[in-house]
Amino acid sequence: MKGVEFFYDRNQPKKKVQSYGRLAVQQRMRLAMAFLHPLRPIIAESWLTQGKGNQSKAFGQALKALMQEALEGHYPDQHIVAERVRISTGLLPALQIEDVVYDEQTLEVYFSGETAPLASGTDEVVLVVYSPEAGVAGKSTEASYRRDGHIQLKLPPPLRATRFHAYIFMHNTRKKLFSRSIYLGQLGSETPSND
Amino acid sequence: MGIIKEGINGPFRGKAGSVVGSSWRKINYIKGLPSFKNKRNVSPEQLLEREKFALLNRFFDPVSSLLEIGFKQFTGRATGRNVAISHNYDHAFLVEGKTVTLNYPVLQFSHGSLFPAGDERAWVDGDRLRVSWDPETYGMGRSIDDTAVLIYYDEIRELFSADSKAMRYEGGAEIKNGRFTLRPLRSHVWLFFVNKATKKVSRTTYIPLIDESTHES
Repeated sequence: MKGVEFFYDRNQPKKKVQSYGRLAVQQRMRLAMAFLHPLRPIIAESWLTQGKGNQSKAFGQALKALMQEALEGHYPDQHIVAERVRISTGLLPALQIEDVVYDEQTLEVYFSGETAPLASGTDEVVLVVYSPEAGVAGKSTEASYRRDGHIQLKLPPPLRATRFHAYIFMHNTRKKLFSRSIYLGQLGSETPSND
Repeated sequence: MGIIKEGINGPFRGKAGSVVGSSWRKINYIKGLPSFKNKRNVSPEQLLEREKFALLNRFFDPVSSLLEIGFKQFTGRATGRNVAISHNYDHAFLVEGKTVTLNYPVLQFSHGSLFPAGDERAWVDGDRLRVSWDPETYGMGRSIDDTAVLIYYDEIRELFSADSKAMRYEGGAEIKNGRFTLRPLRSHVWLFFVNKATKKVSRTTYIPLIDESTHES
């Protein structure tokens, strides 16, 4: 996660030499916070059940999950594996991704629209793009449903010239049930790819 | 005479023997009486640091009210200017030998979680400075009613202009000033956004001025 700005991570000389364990945990916390903080508006909704209705607790649960599952390496070279980050979680059946099409200004995702007892055709699909280095994220603004089989997102300008992560998840119409997020890959202008 | 406000161990105000007690922004201080015993020659490194500090302090002085907005989140125990200097000090300078200048494109007048707009452009059109940006909100981290704070700095005449009337949805702002017709013009433009409740701000974006003849409106 090089390039992420830590406003509070100043090189202040410490009076006491801190233990390796403490420094490692502090770095894990900083990395996790820096990654998840810009996604707070999404996490406040998508982890709300895990937070028992409290948005702060929801963010805390997402942070805990990230620190447990998505951090790799040993201090001082710890880093986040974006593929394992869950920006939403829940029991709603997820999608089957068929194709991801990316060009300079838009990102399109094609998925299977099969319905099941727990998966309604009216479940809303949300596509999220995020660059922790640029500190910018965006999500789909036009409603797209499981039955549509397709979602499109216009990329925010700061993400058109940089690499970014893309996630997709869904929720029911009342936003009470969420699916586990699916990582679509790291896309971006430096190495355009169609995963 | 010093008054101990919260018992024998509490903070005090005023002079007590060789120390002076005071309080600022709920921080209690005990300072020694002024002394002028240091007659050592100042090292070149120390002189350089002093010059850097003075340069940045002087630069931020006219926009201290904007810095109070831009760094509001961190001003509980410091002024906006204090925080701005602390935030910018490590990367704000270009040092060539003994000459120190400010690295204008990296200076930050704000820090926060609101997202910047993107696609920013700035150009001078007669006596007006016009700035445009992408007005869309992309679903998160931005609102159409965020206020745009535009800062202009004339490096030659060392003068600031600012505007904070435009909203994000307007996609542009302008500052009218006869100074823009003067030449040569060595100018710097920065932009950041503040949400309606003035609690969240975005990071500052530096906008390089483009030649007015090349701008397509």
